[in-house]
Amino acid sequence: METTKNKQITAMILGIASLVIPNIGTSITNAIDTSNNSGSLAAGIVIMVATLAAIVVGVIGMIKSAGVRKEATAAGEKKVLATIGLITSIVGTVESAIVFFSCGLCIACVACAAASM
Amino acid sequence: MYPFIEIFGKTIGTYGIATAAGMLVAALVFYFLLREKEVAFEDVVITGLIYAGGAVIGAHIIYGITNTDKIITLFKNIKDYGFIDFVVTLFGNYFGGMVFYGGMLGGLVALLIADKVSQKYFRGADMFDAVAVVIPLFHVFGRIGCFFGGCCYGIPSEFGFTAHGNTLYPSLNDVNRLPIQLIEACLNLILFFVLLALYKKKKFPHRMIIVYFFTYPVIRFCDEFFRGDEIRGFFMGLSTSQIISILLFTFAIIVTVKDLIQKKASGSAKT
Repeated sequence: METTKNKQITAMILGIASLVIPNIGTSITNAIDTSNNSGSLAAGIVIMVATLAAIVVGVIGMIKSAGVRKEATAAGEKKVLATIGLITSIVGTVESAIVFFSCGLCIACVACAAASM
Repeated sequence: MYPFIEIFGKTIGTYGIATAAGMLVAALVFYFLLREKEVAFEDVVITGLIYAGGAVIGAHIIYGITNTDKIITLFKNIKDYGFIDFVVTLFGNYFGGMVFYGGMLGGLVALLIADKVSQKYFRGADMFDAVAVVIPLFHVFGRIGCFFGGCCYGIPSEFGFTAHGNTLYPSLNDVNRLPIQLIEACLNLILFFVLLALYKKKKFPHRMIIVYFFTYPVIRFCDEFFRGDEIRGFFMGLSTSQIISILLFTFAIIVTVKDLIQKKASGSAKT
């Protein structure tokens, strides 16, 4: 019986969630009318919150997957799901971090919109 | 300059992509360097995560320090600002940027703390030297990102490139400038290969970071004179990075002298 299976599934779900969350944010942003200041502000906030949430989930996913991989190695069990969790967490976190840290335009838009409200 | 590029309809900063590529390559090299020491893939990932966390905090703090005068003025005039204005000005403008030295030192401090707290993933005795080897490799990508981003640039010069249409920094446009970021990227690449050779030959065990502190600050101190941007803060005619370079070089000398004294003392104790 695999003792780490549930933990591996949790880690994988966290990894996949870190990939999906920013795309949900993008979909919501696309539905917002950004032709006015309050719309731009809302869109900027949604993107920032979504990417930040994905970073948090991804980091937790990475820590969780790494821990489970170590446990599975020690127990001599397969660690495929934990590896998927680790890789998806890395990709999700890096993708979100790029958008969050390099999207100066988003922050500038939010700042401008906030200042002119 | 290409500060932003479009991928799948998304506008993404070139600097971010270069940084991510640098992290990936550095992590791979780090993994291959440590394979013989039974370091697992997850150890590398968590080490990278710890370093990145410390680096982000450190880079923003040092950037904030370069804006100390502005932050003091902001707090003096706090009554003139609304809450959102204040937060945006403080964290967006004055702490919003990142400084390489802050990132490097923040990451190293985070790893030192991790090593002290728990050695589950990061084991300083085995892994610290490899960290020192990959720092300049990551920096190569960072500097290429800087070049494309146009955020920092060289002095006007006959040799170099002329940028047109940089909307982030219009003052950069239409002036032929020395590609100082690319020069620093090349020097970092050379430094990486030197450190890699020293690491492979097992020279300076547990002191690779000191070798790095002897070399990179010299490169940085010199190349700061050829930078045309002035957003990094200056003190007594020297930039913040030059002051940090002097401090790191001094630290390296102190550690080396201390090591030599200890070596001499242990040598005389044996005889």
